[in-house]
Amino acid sequence: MQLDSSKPELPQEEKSNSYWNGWYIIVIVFLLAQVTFYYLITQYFK
Amino acid sequence: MSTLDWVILITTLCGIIMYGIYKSRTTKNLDGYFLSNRSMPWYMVLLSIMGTQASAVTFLSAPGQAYTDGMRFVQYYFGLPIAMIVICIFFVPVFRRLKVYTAYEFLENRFDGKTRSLTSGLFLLSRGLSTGISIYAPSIILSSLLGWNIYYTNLVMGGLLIIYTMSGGAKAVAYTQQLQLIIIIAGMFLAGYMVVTLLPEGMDFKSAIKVAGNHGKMNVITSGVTNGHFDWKDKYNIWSGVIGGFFLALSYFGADQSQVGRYLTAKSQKESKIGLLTNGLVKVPMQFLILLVGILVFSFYQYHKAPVYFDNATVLLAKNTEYKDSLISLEQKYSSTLAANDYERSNVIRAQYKAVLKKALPGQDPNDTNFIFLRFVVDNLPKGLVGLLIAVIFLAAWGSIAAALNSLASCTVVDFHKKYINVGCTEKEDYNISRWYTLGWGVFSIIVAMFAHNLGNSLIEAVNILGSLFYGVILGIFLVAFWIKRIKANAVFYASVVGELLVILIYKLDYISFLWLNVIGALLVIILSFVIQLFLPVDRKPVVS
Repeated sequence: MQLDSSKPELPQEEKSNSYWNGWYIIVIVFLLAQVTFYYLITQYFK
Repeated sequence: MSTLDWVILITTLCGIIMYGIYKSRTTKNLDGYFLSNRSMPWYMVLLSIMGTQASAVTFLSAPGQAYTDGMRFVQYYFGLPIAMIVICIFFVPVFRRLKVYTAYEFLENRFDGKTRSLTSGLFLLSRGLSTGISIYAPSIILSSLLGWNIYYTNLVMGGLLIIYTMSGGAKAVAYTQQLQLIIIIAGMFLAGYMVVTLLPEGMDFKSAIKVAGNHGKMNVITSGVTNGHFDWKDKYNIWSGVIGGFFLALSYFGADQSQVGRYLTAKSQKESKIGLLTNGLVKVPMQFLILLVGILVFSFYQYHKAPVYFDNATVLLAKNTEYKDSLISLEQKYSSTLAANDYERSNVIRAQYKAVLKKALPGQDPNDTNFIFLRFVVDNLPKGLVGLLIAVIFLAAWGSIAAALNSLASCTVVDFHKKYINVGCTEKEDYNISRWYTLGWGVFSIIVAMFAHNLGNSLIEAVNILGSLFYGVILGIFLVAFWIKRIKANAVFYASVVGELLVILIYKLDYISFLWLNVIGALLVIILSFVIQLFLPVDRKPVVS
């Protein structure tokens, strides 16, 4: 099957790097917040 | 099961099938059948990704896991959010730009046809077998607890969903998964709420957690260090969760067509990415809450008589052997320790009981973790709710099996049939043959399920091990494809073959927990590719990035 790389996706679906970086930061910060919360729970019940 | 339970179970299952058929109208070509015409919004992508990952064993096994081993299982998912970010940065843009149907098509563009076929073949082998086990695992638990015939349970578990998966393809899969997930989440919340209401008077949610915490069950974060040394065989700790879990999630979401096929249905690259990133946000808390249900069940059994062993059918089988008297004697001792509130002693007797069961039934794994939650449901929850929670198990199974069948069919059609058997077929022929392959894989999975009892009853581990044996190598091929431009087709192909054999050998030697096999497989392919490339002439094929 031939791959169709000649038709780029529509430009409006591409968002700026800062938009996606914002998403990535939210995901990482939320993960870190959860790990901290879980760590505190573990220590509390130790 | 009461009549009300049967009514709720049958109505829910029939409702899903009807809804799936109603949503089956799709354009009769590969784009419509396998990718829903790339028309899905991000929230449908999210629900489809979650519905594909959360199988029946997730809801059966996770509460039991928390009951026996505490909350630390949640660490297994810590690598997932990081993997979502990597997939959004590197995988999604390439798959979207090349407008692929399967992840493995990209490999032909980057390497060659044989590398694509090898990778797709490894996927078909591992996913085909594990789908069969995914049918059998919940079926054996339901048939054991409810006395259902295992063969009919397998047929309902793996057969009915074929109706809408075959007729509606990816679109029917996504829409049914949406409804299934809503029912599953509602059912689990209801189960958690009911456990709290069944606690003794004066006890609330907070005190139930405290009781579990006092018994060491709130061990959410563990280091994996025992006696001053890191234990490589310890399955769930923060390091195996972050590193091993990252590689596992990267290979599952980046290189397993059952997931790639879900986010390729999005109407744009942006919708694919938002669906994946939102999954990175909600997956860990969702697993935490499911485990918390198991913790509540544990607290419940501190005030109610817990069975000495949660799988009655196995006990009945064992009582037909010479060990009958030993089992009855242990049951009596167990009852008296419970009456005396001697928790430590009752745990010792449970372990002794399992040891006797193992002697009585040598081929069977005496682990009853997967039976704990459903046994609690059947014994303690009110009429109606039992039927709903059994429906939850079926729906969870259907969501992941339907996505697996759709992806198995797409790889067979796109990576093999259209490439090697019938190169120039029309859109209509594509559509028809895709439906037949969906049916074929459904029948194959049910046949595997019918023979799966030979694996013993440690089935969840069997699925995870099967995935880990192949995922690492498949991921390694993709990592080389994306990031190491100097490595060409022949090098990565031979590295994958040797890497796969080495992974199987390492697993056989049993030095390390299976979660690490994903990391090892990926690293082996990368390192071996470098070494083999040194001895091969460089071909000048342009690289797609």
